[in-house]
Amino acid sequence: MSLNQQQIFEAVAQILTKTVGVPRDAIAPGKTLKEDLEIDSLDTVEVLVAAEDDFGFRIPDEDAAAMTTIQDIVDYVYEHQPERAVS
Amino acid sequence: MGILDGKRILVTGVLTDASIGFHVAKLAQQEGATLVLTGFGRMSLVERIAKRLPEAAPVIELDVTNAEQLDGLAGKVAEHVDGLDGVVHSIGFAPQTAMGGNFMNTGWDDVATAVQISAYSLKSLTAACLPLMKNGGSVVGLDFDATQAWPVYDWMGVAKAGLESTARYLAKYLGPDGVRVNLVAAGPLKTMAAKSIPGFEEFTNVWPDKAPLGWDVADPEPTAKACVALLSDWFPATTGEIVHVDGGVHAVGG
Repeated sequence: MSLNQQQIFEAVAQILTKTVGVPRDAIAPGKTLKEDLEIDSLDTVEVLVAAEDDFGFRIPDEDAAAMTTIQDIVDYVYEHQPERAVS
Repeated sequence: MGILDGKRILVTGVLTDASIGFHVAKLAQQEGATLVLTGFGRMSLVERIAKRLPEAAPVIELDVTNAEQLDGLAGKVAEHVDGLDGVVHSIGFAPQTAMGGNFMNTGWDDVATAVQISAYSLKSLTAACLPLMKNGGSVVGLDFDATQAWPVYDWMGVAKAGLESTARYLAKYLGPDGVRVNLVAAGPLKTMAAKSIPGFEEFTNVWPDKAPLGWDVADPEPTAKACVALLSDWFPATTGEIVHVDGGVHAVGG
């Protein structure tokens, strides 16, 4: 069963809070990782590696480089989640 | 049956699964080695990445500038393996001010940081592991050819020259104990560390064309293979050496 956008957003928010300590109330879909949340490139790697583990698929570097907002991550996961791919 | 069967190896420098250290670790396991990893700073990330190896490996925190952690390293490694046959040094750092064309303006403090973490640490790490290398062993470090002045590499290049010299002196002083010390001078590879070098594309754009064998900046396997070969028993009389894994760029002009 695939996750909907809201479920993915909640999961991504939890990853951001748990792995790099972003306060939950600072997280909104349109926020940019670098400017708004002030997370650096290594923080981003940590978030994406955790997302890969949690969602069960790999995010190639070229795709990761194109993600600037939380919504970008949510959209990417929504499009690429394995359950969706086989459904 | 692998060329590292029965070998116990400490691998540093694993940060992501693009790290050279990760690929050395993976291949070493495939060749039969038992591994212990060290990580720096991002321990939760390193631990996640360690689980992506064919066999999850234990991770010990190690800042090579921290005397206390260096002193405690052998004891912590010994909790997982009863000795070491090999050590992989894949550690380097220079502040941003020390690279990217800022050579003439870099202050000593930043240069000192680059040299301590990227060159002196080969001695610090090796010394910390020596109590576990009772039967000799192989130390392999990751290098970038320091015989030329490259674009943007700047004081990191100076630090690598220091690393090369450090390896030769370690070879001299530790040879009598049966410890071999060699470096692998790899061509540019797309790792997290490389991404932090301002102007890194100046290497990646020209290297594949300059290399007689060609060069794939996204393929760490040739470098990992050389490291594993040097860790094995197949270079028993080689120490103080630099093996170039760069597609041949070091050997040709133009």
